[in-house]
Amino acid sequence: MNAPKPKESLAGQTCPCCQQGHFALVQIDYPGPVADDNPITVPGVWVEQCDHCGEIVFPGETTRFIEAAVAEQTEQLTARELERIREDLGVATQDEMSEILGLGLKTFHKWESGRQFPTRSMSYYIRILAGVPGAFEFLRSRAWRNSNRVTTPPAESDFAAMFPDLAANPPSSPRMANPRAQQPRINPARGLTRVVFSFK
Amino acid sequence: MQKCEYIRHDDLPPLATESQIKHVQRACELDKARLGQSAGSYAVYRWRVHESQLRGAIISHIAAGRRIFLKFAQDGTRRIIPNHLQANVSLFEDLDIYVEMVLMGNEMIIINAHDHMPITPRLPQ
Repeated sequence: MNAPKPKESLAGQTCPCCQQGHFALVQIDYPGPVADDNPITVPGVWVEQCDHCGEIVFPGETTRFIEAAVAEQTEQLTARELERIREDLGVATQDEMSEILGLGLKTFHKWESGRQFPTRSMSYYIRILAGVPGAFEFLRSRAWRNSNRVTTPPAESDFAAMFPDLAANPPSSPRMANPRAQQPRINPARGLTRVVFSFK
Repeated sequence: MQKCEYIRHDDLPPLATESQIKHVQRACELDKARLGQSAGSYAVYRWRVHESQLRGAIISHIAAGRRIFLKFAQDGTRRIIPNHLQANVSLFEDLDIYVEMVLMGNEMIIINAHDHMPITPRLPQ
């Protein structure tokens, strides 16, 4: 996607930094230090650049384009997305969301206010919860605490209990639909139930 | 909590005028604020905030009746640089930042925005 050209330009105006040069609207490849191991370059963005001191000013359109590029690259949830997800899942407060997700009490508040960002892996996890409401409800109710698997084995498979929506509408791959049913589990301890040590 | 030092009252530059503050508020509200290089880098990559959140922090600063100052030239003459304003703005609950703005036409450039330096006294809010 091409970077948008700003509708209004400062071209020809005196640079407020050096008071000597003038701004010109130019296209540059902007390097973005998103993370040390993950630098990105946003190509062909429009900026106002001083012809004397080189100061760069980002028009609003360019700033938003760079923000979108960074968000796309990092795949981390933004504050607005987190707020929308929380509301869609019907959670009234940020503290409650923190508790459901097993976070520190104020962590979700910090994320939603933009003070901190969730990691990429945590963002994936929250996206799953947002996309599979059954999984979120399972987490919210702490459903695993209600089942005593030794004395009362569940009537339905673990997968169906955990993800009822997904079980009702299985994806095309049968392995994805119910991995445990397709793949018999091998007990790695079989044959090792009795170990005799002898000391002489 | 980290201790911070503020600029002494006698050393403070004059306050921005009412019309200058209105200009800043209008520019922030109408999306007429551009970002300088340092402001852009800090906002997008260090604080990880959207430019709109930075503008929102400035609007909140004004709405709360906090102060915006003019800016002295760096040559020690106490000469005011025309149309340059500065403030100590709360970006988050526990993060105050230095913001320098330049008024141009009906627009504004946030020419500098960065964390406070540990050894440099801050502007009061």
